[in-house]
Amino acid sequence: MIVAERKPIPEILDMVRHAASVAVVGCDTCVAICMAGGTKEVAVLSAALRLAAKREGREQLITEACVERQCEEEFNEPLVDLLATHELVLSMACGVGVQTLAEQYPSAIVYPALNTRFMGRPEELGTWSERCLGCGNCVLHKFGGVCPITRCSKNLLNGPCGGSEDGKCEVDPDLPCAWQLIYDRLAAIGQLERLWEVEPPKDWTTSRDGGPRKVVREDIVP
Amino acid sequence: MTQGPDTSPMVLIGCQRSAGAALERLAVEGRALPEHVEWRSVSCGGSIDELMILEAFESGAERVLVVSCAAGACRSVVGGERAKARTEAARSVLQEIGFEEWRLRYETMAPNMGVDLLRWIDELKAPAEQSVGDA
Repeated sequence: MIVAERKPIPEILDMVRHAASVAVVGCDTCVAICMAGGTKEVAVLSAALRLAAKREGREQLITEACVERQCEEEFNEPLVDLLATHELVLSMACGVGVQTLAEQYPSAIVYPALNTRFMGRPEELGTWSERCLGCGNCVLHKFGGVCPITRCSKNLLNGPCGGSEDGKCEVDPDLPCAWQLIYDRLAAIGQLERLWEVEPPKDWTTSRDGGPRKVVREDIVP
Repeated sequence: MTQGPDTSPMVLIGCQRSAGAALERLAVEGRALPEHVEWRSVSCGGSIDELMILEAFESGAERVLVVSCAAGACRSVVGGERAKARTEAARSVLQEIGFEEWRLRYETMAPNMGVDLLRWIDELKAPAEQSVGDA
């Protein structure tokens, strides 16, 4: 899922302070799961904005809303009246949701309340970690299901580097060495011989090097 | 010179099993919460969250006291820890929007600590007022 964090409230206040009315719009999918931008977080931020306005002696209407998936236009259709009646929209979705709202409602001013961080998974309650860089050419089958692009701090395809020590990464001793994880996993599934294969330099054209990417399914396109 | 008590609106949020029970005991003794204190009961400290605290301030409270059961005494085991963590999360939000730290206080208690509860309520005021009052 996409993992995000709320921006510092002073930064958000700088964006919205001038507006007479603000619609705070959350997204109840990924950012709700990582407790950054779902219904509950919309309520918390809205309460904070109302308190800040009162404290600063400002009149400001703060309205709360949340959609199931802000990155898909049909889910945003019920917002049409809300967006038309508010000076500013503060989106608590990931960057995709913010841009979807802005594209869908060109006359709306849509600002982000979150910093979108990465694609990852929850490790434990309150902790999420990165698992996928979206490189566009998955090689997980070669590395025991552990992504060296994402989880090795140096993105090494032929690791480990000389800094791996006691299974930890030299960049951050709190991080497991991805190549230790790869070795352990390959050993567990009886595929250690894969480590003899030398991986050629990665072709990054499927990643961001070719500019913004697009997936088109000709069998589905109307 | 001793300054009088702060009678600005206050919300007391607490677990029914500790703060609630303490208030019931105080009532038997003929003692009640001061009129400016609104009691908001929850069935467990673990259900207290940032929003509940922010809403207390939104409703007009100048100060909020959050109380949960003492460590090891929570019927849900971790309710007190969660109440404390979420109070700190609310404090963080409040500080980001300019609220002074003293306006939010967290304590743990047992049902026989009603007198302490009343003392915490009395103590929850601006530091300058405290120093004047304590002098």
